[in-house]
Amino acid sequence: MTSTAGLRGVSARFLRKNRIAFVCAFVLFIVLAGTGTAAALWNTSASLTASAGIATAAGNCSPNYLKNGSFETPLVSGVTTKAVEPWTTTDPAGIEVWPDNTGGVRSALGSQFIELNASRPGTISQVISTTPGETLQWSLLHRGREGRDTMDVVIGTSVATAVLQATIADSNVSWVRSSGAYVVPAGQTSTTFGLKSVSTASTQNSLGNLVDGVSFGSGSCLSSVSTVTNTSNGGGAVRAGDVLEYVTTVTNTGGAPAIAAVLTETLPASLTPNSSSFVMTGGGSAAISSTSTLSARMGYGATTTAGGVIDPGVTVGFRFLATVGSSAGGTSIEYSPSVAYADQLTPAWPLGVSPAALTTPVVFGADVVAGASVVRSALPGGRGTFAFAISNNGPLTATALRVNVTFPRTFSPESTTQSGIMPAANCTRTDTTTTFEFACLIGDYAAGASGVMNVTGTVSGAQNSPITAKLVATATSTDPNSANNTSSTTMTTLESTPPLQVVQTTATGTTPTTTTLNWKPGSDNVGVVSYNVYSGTGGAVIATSTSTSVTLTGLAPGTTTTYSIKAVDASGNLSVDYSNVVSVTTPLAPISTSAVYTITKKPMWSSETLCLDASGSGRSEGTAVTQYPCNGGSNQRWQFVATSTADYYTVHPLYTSSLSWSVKTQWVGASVQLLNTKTSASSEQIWKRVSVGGGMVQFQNGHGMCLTVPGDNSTHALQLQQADCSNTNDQFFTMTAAN
Amino acid sequence: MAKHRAGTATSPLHIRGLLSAASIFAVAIFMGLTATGGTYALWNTTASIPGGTITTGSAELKINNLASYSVPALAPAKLYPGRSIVSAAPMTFSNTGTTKLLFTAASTVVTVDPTFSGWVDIVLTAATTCSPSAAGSTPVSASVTIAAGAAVSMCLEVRLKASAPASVQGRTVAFSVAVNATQVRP
Repeated sequence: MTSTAGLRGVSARFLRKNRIAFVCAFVLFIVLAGTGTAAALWNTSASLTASAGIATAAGNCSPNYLKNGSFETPLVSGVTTKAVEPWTTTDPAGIEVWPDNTGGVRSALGSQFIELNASRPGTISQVISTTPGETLQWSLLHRGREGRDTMDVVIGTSVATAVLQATIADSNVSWVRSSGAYVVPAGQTSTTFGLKSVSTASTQNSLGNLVDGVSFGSGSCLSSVSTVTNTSNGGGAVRAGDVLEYVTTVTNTGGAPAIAAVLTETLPASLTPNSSSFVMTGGGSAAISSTSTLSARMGYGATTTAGGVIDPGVTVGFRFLATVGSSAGGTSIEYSPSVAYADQLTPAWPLGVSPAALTTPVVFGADVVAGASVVRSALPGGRGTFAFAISNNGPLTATALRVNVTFPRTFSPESTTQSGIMPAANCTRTDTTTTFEFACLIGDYAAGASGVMNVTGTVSGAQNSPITAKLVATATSTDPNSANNTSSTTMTTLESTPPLQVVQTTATGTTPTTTTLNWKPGSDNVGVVSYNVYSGTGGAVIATSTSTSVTLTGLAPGTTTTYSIKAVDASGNLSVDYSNVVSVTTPLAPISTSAVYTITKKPMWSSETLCLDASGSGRSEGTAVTQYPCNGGSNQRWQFVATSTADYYTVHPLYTSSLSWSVKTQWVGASVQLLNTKTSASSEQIWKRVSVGGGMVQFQNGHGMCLTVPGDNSTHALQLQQADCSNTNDQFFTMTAAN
Repeated sequence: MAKHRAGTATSPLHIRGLLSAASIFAVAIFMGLTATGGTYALWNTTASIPGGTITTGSAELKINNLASYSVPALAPAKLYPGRSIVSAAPMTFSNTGTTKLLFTAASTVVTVDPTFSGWVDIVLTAATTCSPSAAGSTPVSASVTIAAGAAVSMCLEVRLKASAPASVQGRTVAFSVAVNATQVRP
């Protein structure tokens, strides 16, 4: 049997003697165990394939986009709440439209904008047709009214279910643009775009959220047009030294804003732009580099370094003047600006548009221009005159200029007169069986020179027959426009048959100062060319017309005038008889209750004109209404106040409205005096103005009696009376507005 | 009798020590090989188990029940710079094996035409409805673990980078995604 101490002794010896073997065994165990664990996990794999299309920046010109986004229609003259098609609103009062500069707020675009909070907080919306899957863009300009206002942009199938896209809050300092994108969900073929008021800085919820320039559509789409005008030569041929006006307009016909719009064009060396003539419309700035490259940054918010925004429906423009250099002669100047821009969704993908190139030929040599015309026609056997004009539009001298003039044998030249540079010498005449021909050597003709030669001769042949003369100018120098070197004109011999009498003259549309006369077309063997208008039947022609009507203006109100017409033919023959006479009576000008009038009276047998006068400017009842020398006093200036009886007025002096013309009885001879104005004036205090012709009037009161100067007397301070109305001078007055 | 050096003598005690060391090596080798999973055939034996069957495990991942799935159509929208489009509906990633699987962004290999490789991000995210990430953000694939026999709804999102050049507009990006899943240790 082994004791415990003996066993410990054996173990200790065993471990001590085999320690190296234990260490090696432990290392081997670890290596083997570790190697086996790492190699035991499983792997598997699956895969998918797909493809995705990338959008194209160009070609987003769909016509389906939000309309009237700048609220330009209907046009309003003041803040107006009404329907604004095709927008709808939840506010029963309508959409509140502001014209430009209302309350000091300028429109961001166009001339109008809206306040979203109209009579109450609400939502305005618009529905457009959409294609599922397409990406639409929205953009708008917003500002607060009295402080920081807030609204939501919502988009969806209806206002009720539209999904919030953005919450926009801006102060009232300036317009701020916000924008975003919206992908149309599957199956959604119409989409509602809405703006919903959320809160305002005002304590009144009917004030706040100003909005302008709203757009919602698939993309921007610019188009551009350029024009060129020669400002130096009346639109004629372009020459060295001429100044050309170039205008390029750019319009966004798409449904989303175009951004970073910049026009560029490199001008030829022969065209020198005038930088002080640069004009931008619709916002922007323009400059030219030393290499003659024009750069015009266009649109809303454009700066001197970056292009701006051209919103849908907006047209912007660039105009400048440029001078044609001498090196351009005989060449053509090309102008083909390009407008670079981008779409909001693809700001780094450039788009561009270029209008059709303008080609402007610049003439070289001498542009000689011939012009023949008729100065005077004549009856057969009489003497008529032709005029022949020559000019050199340059730019160079026309060398060895010759002119040839040819007449038919029905015109026999007899004498000439010249003006300007038109030498009559060196002409040779050649007569043929059908013509008389003159060939004249004028010689060198400087640029800008011109002259006229009149040739007078006897006409022959039948009345109303044509005589055609021809002028041809030629030079040995190059002519850039030979088409204007030849000119013909035809003189028609006169005839002596007058037009027939004009009939059925009438007057229409007569006002206090105008009337329109109408008549049937006249008749003539060679045709009527015009009509003369006469006052009555005789005297001077007061008007002419090439049509069968004429409107006469500046007529005297309350007067009667007669008119008649005569026709004129091409030979100057006049109708023998006047047309029927039409009588026109112009109505009196309406009485203005805001005007002040003087009322004058001219006695038959006196040269003195007197004024109706409130005697002594009296302020008490019984103050007499008299006639007195005119002095402009407030007691001679009268105002008319309408009454409840049509056409009747109370009449009071300017200095008091509490007293009015009155009579105390209805009897003939009752004195006209000032009595207190009654609240409800009756017959003795109301007066009606009646035209009596010649611009004069009667005043008839509620009793049916007329204001009268007793005996048509010229006595000063004579008190007026009422009398039975009669067509006599003692009751005739003249009213004149005296404001 | 002259003494012999202990190290050179072949005494009974020395022989016993050598046998002990050999035994320790043998035990160590036995234990090490046993711990490796039994893939070494140092010792073989045979036993019969009446009525029993040995079944091996499996690891298998499928997309909409297919090992290789072709996405019929992404949402009809086009790609714009800085914006995404997504698959119209989620895809079902099924673990049809017998062990839990894991795949990560690192183990998901995207192959795309080199023309677009620098301009598109293609990611897979677990979601029951597919919607694009916010404009301006960068979508990221997430790590997904699927238990044996389970399935997960996954969305495919394609993002065109905001810096994509104009030369890619109007083009179609074709790509494939290899999803490599690994057994998760129980």
